[in-house]
This record gives sequence, C-alpha cells and structure tokens, in this order.
Amino acid sequence: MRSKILIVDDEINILMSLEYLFKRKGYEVYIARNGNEAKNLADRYEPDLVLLDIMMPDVDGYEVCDYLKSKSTPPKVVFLSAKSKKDDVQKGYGHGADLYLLKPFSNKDLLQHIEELI
Amino acid sequence: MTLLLIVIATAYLGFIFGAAWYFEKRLSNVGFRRWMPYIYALALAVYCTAWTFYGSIGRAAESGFDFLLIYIGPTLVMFLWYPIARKLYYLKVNQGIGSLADLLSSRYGKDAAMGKLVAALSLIGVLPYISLQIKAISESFTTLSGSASPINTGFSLSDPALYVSLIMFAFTIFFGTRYVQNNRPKAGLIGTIAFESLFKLLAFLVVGLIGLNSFLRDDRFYSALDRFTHQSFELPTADWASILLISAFSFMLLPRQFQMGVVENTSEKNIPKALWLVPLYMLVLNLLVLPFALMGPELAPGTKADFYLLSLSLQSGGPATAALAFLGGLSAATSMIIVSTLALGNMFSTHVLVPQIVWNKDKPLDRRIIGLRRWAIFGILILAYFYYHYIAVKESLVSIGMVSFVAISQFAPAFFGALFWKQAHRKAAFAGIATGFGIWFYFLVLPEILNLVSGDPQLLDWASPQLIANSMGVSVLSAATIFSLLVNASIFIGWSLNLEATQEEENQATLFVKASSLLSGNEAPEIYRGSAPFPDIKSLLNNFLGNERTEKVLDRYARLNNIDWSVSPTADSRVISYAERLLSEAIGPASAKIMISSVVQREELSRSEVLGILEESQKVLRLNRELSTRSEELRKATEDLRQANYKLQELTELKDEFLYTVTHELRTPLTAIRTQAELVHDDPEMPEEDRQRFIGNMVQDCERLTRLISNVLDLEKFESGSQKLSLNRVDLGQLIEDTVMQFQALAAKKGHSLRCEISAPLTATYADEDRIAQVLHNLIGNALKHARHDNGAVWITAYRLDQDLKVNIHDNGNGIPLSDRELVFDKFYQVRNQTRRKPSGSGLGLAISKNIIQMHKGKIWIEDNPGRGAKISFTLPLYLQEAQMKNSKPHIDA
Repeated sequence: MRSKILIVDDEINILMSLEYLFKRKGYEVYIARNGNEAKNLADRYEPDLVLLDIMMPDVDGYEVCDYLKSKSTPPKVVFLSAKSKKDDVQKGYGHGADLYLLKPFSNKDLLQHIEELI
Repeated sequence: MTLLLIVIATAYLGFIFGAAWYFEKRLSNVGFRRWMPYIYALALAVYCTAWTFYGSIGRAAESGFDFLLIYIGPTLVMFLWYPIARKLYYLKVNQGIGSLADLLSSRYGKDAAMGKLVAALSLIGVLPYISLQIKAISESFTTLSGSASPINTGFSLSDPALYVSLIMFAFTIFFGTRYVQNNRPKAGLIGTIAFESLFKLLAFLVVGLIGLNSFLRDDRFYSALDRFTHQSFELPTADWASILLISAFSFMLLPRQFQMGVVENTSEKNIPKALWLVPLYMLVLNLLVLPFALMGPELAPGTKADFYLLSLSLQSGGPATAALAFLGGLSAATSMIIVSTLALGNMFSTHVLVPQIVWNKDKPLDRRIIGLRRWAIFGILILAYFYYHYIAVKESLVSIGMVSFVAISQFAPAFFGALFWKQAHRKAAFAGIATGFGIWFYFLVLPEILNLVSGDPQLLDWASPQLIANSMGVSVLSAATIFSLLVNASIFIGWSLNLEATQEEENQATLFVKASSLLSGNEAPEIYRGSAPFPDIKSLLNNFLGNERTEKVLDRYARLNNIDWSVSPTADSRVISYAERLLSEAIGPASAKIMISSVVQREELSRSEVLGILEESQKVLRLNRELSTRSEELRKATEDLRQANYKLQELTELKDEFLYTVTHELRTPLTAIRTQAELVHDDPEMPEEDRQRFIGNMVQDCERLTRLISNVLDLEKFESGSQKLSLNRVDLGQLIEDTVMQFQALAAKKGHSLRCEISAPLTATYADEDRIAQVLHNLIGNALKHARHDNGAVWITAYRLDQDLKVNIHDNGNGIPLSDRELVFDKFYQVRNQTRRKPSGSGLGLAISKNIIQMHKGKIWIEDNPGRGAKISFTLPLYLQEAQMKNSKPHIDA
C-alpha cells in the first residue's frame, strides 16, 4: 500500500511544488491550505505523515500538531518552518513533532528524511 | 490611684499598638516621606530613657550640673555624625548590615568569632540597663500608687512590670520581626519610637511647666536656688571627660542607637535634620530638670531622688499631672526596652543561634530564623526581668546606666578603626575589645558580685578598683573608663600595626574605609571572581529568604541587569555578591560567607587586581561626585542616561527581532523558489506545461523577494533618517484619483468595487509626490486585500479639516481589533504576532507609510469604525509655501 502524506502550508507555491514532488515519488498526497482544512483531511484520510507549516492564518501549526498527536493512531509530524530560533525548534519538538526542518530545504534531504520516518 | 494607673497604662500600651499599626501602613507613602527626617531624629531620641525622665533629676539633686554631660556627649557627636551615619547607611544597604555585630564581623574579614563576641558582650553590657527600665516602671508605679514595692515582696504576679514586659515582648516580635532581613527598616517600629519620643518630651514639658508655675510662687524655691548657686560642685577633669566620652560613644554604639540610627534609617537624606534636631531635643528635655532637683528635698524629703518628678507633680498638679508624668516615664522605658531587646535579639540570634541551623538544608529556614529571633528576644526580656527582680535592687537609675555606657564604649576603637583605618586588624580588634571588657568587668562588675556573694566589695585588697580610683583622685567609673579604653585602644592600634591582613579582610577593609565613595552607587564594586551554578544559588536563597521573596529579588535583579536566568545557568561574580548580601541580611555576614562558599568556586584575585578594581570604581565615583554638586542636574542626567540605555537596549532587541523577521520573511519565497527550481532541475522528463508553471511561479516569488528587500531598505532609510524628501507642489486630490485609477483593474479582477470621493476645493501642498503615492498604494492595496471576498468594497474619502487634508481609506472586511491598532504600524506586525498569519504583503507597508506621513508632519492612525470594516486615516498639512513645511513641528506619534 502506498504511504499517505498530508502537506499543510498557506504558501500556495510551496504547497503545489511539494505535492508535485511527492506524487512523482509515488506517495498518495493530500494538501491543505490552513489548519482547519488539515484537521479535516487528517480525520478523513488518516495520513501516515504530515508536513506542517507553523505560521498559518487561522489555526497555527502547533495546534494542528497537538491535534494530530492526540489521535488514536497519530501520524508522524514534520514541521517545515522558517522560524529559525533555537526556541522555535525546541517548541516544535515540545509539541511532539518527529522532525523540525528549517526552510529552505533541499528536496533530496526532505525525501530522504521522509523515507526514514515512514 | 492604683486603678487609674493601671487603666491609663493599659490604654497607653494599647494606643502604641494602634500607632504602630497605623505607621506600618502609612510610612511607605510618598506623602509621609517628607516627615521621615523628623521621624528619624525623634527615633534617635530613644537615647533618652526612663533614666532621663527620672534619673536626671536624681543626679542633679546629688551632684549639680554633671547630668548634662550625658547629653552634651551626643550633642558633640552630632557635629561628626553626618559622614559617619552616611557611611554606615551605605554599608547597611550594600553589605546587608543589621547590627553592630554584623558591622564588625563583616569588616573584620566576615569573621564569625567577632560577631559572637560583639553579640555576647553587648548582651552582658546592656541587659542590666534593660532591667533598669523595668525597674523604673515598677517603682514609678509603686511610688504613685503607694503600694509595696514588688522587689521587697519577691516575685509576684501582681507586679505590673511583669505585664508591661510581656506586652513589650508582644510588641517587639510583632512589629520588629516581620521580615527575615535584619537591615530592613520596619515602619511601625520607627513610627512608634518617634511617637514615644515626642510623647515623653511633651509630657515632661507639661509636667515641668505646671511644676515650675507652682514653685515660682513658693519662697523655698528661691532660697534653694540661692543655695545651689553658691554651692560648688567640683568635678575632676578626668570624671567629666570620661562621662562625655562614654556618652558620646554610647550614643552611636548602644544597640538601640545603632538600630534606630543605622539599621532603621530609610535614607541618607534623613541625616542632616537630625544634626540639629537631636541636640535641640535634649536641650528642651533637660530645661526643667533643675527646678525639680531643687525643690525635691524641700517638698518630698522622704522620696528617692529618682522619683522627685512624680511626687512633686502630684503635689503641684494633682493626680492627672502625676499620671501624665508616669506615662512619660512609661513611654521612655518602653521605647528603650523594645528597641534594645530587638537589637540584642537580632544580634544574638544571628551570630550565636543561626549558625547552628544553617546547614539544615532539608526545609526552608526563613521562618525558623525569625522564630529563633523571637525566642532570643523572649529570652532576653525574661533575663532582664529576673535580673531586675533579684539583682538590680539598690542601684540608682544613673549608675547602672553608666556601667552599660562603659561596656558599650569598648566597641568604639574597633568601630572607628573599621570605618576609617584600613590597617585595623581582626585579631587586634578582637583582643582590644575582649581586654577592655575584662577591665570593665574587674572595675565595675566584680565588686558588685563580691558584694552580693560575701557582702564585702573590698575583697580585692590593694588592687581593689576603689583604691585604684582613690589613688588617682577620680571616681571608679572614670578609672574604669580610662583604663579599659586606654588598654583596649593600645592593643588594638599597636597590634594592628604589626599584623598582615588576610585577603578577605583586606577587601572588606578597603570597602569599608572608602565606603562613602565606593558604595554610594547602587552596587558594591566586584572584588571577587568566581561562578556557581545558578540553581544552587537560587536554592540557597530559597532556603533562607523563602520562595516568594527569592523570586522577587532575583526577578528584580534580572530586570535591572538584563539577565535571563533560563539562558544564563551560571551565576557570575556579581550575582554571587548580590546573593551573599541578601543572605547576609538574614543570617549575618559570617554565615552568609560560609553558605556562599559552599556552592561557589571562588577564584582569589591578586592584591593588585583588587586594588585596581577599587581604584577604578573610585575614579568613576569621584567624577560622579563632582557632578553631584549640582545634584538636580545629575539626577536628571542619570534619568536621561537610564532612558537612553533602555532605549538602546530596546533598539538592540528591535534590531535582533527585525533581523529575525527579515530572514524569516526571506525564507518563505526562497523555499518556494528552491523547491521548484530543484524540481525542474532534477526532472528532465517533466512535462513542458508543468515546467512553465513552476518557472512562472519562481519569477513571481523572485519579484516578491525583490519587493521585500526594497521595502526593508526603504524602511531602514527612513528609520536611520537618511531618507530625504524631495518636495514639490503636489495636488493631492489629483494624486489620489490617479492612484485609484491604477487600482481599478486589480479591483475588477477581484470583483471588488473601488470608489473615491474628494470634497476639498484646494488640495495642493508641498510634498514628495512619489512617497505619498507609495502610501496610497500601500493603503489601497491593503484595503483591497482585506475587503470581503464577495461584494468587496473599498472607498476613499478626502476633505479639508482645518489646515489639513484628511484622507480615509475604508474597506468592508473584518476590521482591525482594537488591541492591534498601534501594533499594525510596527514592522512585521504579523510575525511578531507570532504564529498566526494574516494575508498581507511584506508586513512593512504600514510601517513605511507611517514614516512617510510623519516626515510630512502628518498623522496616520486606525479610526474607530465598529462593525463596518477597517478605516485607516491620515492627515497632511496643506502648505502654501515650501518654507512653511520645513519650519513646522512634526507630529511625533500617530
């Protein structure tokens, strides 16, 4: 069975290109432009892994992460964020994330990390 | 009469509890603060005890004017008091000094033995003196009520002095031991003592004048006066010099004097008023002594001279006057008892009891330290009470007081050495004090003991103090004073000259001797080097100060010094010195040093390094002092500096924040570009359609990056002031219409309506056209972004308002929350608002707009527009001449 990935980001260009990238690699990909949409999609499709931005218009990434990690079968969560302070990273892991990647990243690294996690 | 006395005494004691409660709540008020110098001066008058009240008259009756010497001594001290008291005040604040024992222990190398010695000897020296006050209360009561003296009847529950002692104990622990810090002024206590001083003065004046009024109509007064003036009271020079000296020393060093003069002092500004108020107080208090001394033997031949005041006031003014005299004596006695037992209790518990428990790290000790202090106070009062009952039977009030004075004077050489002589050495001071006390004991105490034990004070044979004094032609008291102080000072000075100080002691010596210049700032110079894990320091403080206070002081320290404990887990030497001072306030300098060194790895500084640091801070402070001749200016300058410093710190923080947010903003488009570029680059098989799409997006992202960077640079230019306006005559109305035109296409694409309505006839002014256009672009662009998605509408109105043109940009979106109305003009408002993002360009548009409008001397703000979307308004002054604009004052805030 193909692994399911949910990508959450309010930057449309990033969202589209990541969707393209993972689809090409054979993943089943869902995309969400904000936190509420992400929660709904996660409930509906039970993804194996969620790529999660932190700064979003309605519900922020931390809150989404908490929500995901409280599910009965929580997905892996990878934060993709431009927030670069040490505190930010610690806070991300504090919310139970499996990985915190700083934007910008290389596609190769991202893919490799994801393969290791799933 | 008995019942009356009991009632008024009880009422009076109840009243001072009320007064203390009142002052406890009030004294920190600003309005009250201007009274503090007077309160301080009155508090120093705790010097005048029941002895002054009753004993002076007794003494004057016996030996003429020499009772005045006891008040001339302190008057002379007042000439020198300012530099001494100021220095002591700095030391109290900066070194956590709460008693004379703390002072000497701290100065002589934070030595525990020195603290114990001073505490123990003070107790021995002053205990009989406290007993005397109890005795005075009891005897004044029996004198007036005519009941039998309780001393003669043995210990009895009907002795009023017993109850007074117990009430004093309650008062002292309630108002004197509220805080674990020894050196913290206690408002209720200071206020009450000052009140009692005032009360006893007024009582004495009223009683005295009533008495004088009746004496003046009595022939016997004139004949007694005549006899008195023809009588010669020969007093050997050595005698009066001794009394002058010991009363001067005692005025500074008696535990109660040190307590009120140093420990309870709230500000160095209190000192100058005391310099003339204290001598004045003593002069007034002693004015009416002589008439009573003269008339006593005439009118009350059977009474003890000490109680002429009571008997004569009863005769001349009746029971009410006598009761007032009794209350005056009571107030004098109680204030002495309260402050003395408090000071002794603090000393004794800090230096003798607390060191026994400080290693107990299992539970917080702050309550236990206070508990020990209370037990010490209780013990001292009980001792004093029993001393009065079984020993202090036959002494007159003055004589025991003088014995105490000689004892306390033994601290004088070490005390002055501590403050003014850098070479003064711990061992020499210790030996001097101990020897001086030995001599005091031999001359003034031993004979009394022998007398009590065997009934023969002459047991000492040829070396008996009386014989020695006789051979010198002076009193025993003078002989004791001269011998003890001479030997004490000689040992102290002679040995100090031949001893080498330890590092610790030398540091403290320098600090103390140069205290006025080194410590007048906020913080002592740092003369230790070392570090400790911050959590260790904190748990140490927790243990002794309690959690709440520890949090508070560390918080304050962190704020003042801009430290974040969570990121600096190591306490540096400044923090350590501060912690040591805090501990010292609770447990004394010696224990504090031991506790601190248990967690700190201290690196010894070399002698020259220490001197270097001290010289350096002295140089800085000397400069400061030169400035302080114009102290108002200095304060203002300091305030300005502090402001500037805050501003600088704030700017640095803003700069960091700015950098962080700029990089954050740059990362987002950069991420999109990189991801897409890699996709295109890594996948030669990509369909042409996708390739075009990604490349198109990348171009968009690059434009966004460029815009961001140019905005950042713009803003930087505005904020650094390097941005200049190029002023031309501009028709603002036309400019608005043109800008709106440019946005029509975008509005149409979004399906929004965009209208403008300009109702001002003359809209031309001098302005930078490009910059104003930039503002309009920003504001209209934002409004279009924030308008409702369906049926969005943006409209612009412009009209004259006095000499300004007012422009409003409305949209029908969600509006701007009240709390954000100032913030939206900050740089990167969105990012600073942390994790929520709002759909709006770079986050710099409004910040830039605000700068531009302000440079044009206009204002920009969010208008209140509840429930109807956002409304941003700005004004621009309309100038006819270019020069007008350049000369007018800018609006600073928006």
